[in-house]
Amino acid sequence: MKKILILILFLFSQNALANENLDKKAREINKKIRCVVCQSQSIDDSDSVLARDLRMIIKKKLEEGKSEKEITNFLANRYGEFILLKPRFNSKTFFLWLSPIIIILLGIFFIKGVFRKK
Amino acid sequence: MKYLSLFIITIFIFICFLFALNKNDKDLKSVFINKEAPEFNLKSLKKNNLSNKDFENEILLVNFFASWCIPCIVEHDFLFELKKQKEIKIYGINYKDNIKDLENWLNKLGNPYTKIGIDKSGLNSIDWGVNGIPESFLIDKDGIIRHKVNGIIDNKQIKILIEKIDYLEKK
Repeated sequence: MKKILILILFLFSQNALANENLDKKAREINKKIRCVVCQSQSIDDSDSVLARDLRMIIKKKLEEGKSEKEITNFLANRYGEFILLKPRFNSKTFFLWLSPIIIILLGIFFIKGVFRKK
Repeated sequence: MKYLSLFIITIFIFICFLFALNKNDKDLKSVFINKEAPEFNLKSLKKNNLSNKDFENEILLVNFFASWCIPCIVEHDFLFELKKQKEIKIYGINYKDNIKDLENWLNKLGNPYTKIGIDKSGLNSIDWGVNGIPESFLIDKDGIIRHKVNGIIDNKQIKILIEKIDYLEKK
């Protein structure tokens, strides 16, 4: 009887731990997804209807065993790269990612040119 | 001269930021433009289900709406106006609504829809990348989404839609 009780407690705690990990993972993903109807908020911060639905979908997909990449692909395929607070590096976003480096390099060349003339 | 070029670069960057900040959400294009309409199969308000099979061989409009949505009330008359100006089927997808409220709403305001699919959970709307309601998608004869209206269809949007429909008809 004691052994059965320990086994039940063990299984229960394992289940609770798995749920907790799933919630943690879901919140991590939620923080990376833009609330498309709000101003600069993630769906984790927003209480809009769409944000609530997206949070629900993310949790459901995690329960189905989908990876973070699969979930972000699912959302980007419907709402575009805009839904990702940190856009992925690809042919459409490379200029966005490289522009700070280009601006810094231009600035360095410009300052160098000014000092050289002096 | 060097200060002038520095000034020009600063102004250019400032204008770029200003342009980016003032970009209206309504300008955001749907990723579905020029792609096939998402597959779906919804319970209809009446007998048969509403699915992609209803979209074969004709230009049509899919309108996401709800009876609780105030802008949808404003849009409702414009949907009749669109149908008056152009013979087009409008399919409605009812978003997170109460069926009784929807029926009362349609009885009171009239029904411009050929068929209405019921998206009780809102999950089908997410498959279409809907941000909020009302939103509408213009679909061509091949089932390809050609245009999206974010927000209310008003007189300005009717004009744009008719131009697009005329172009698709000639194609």
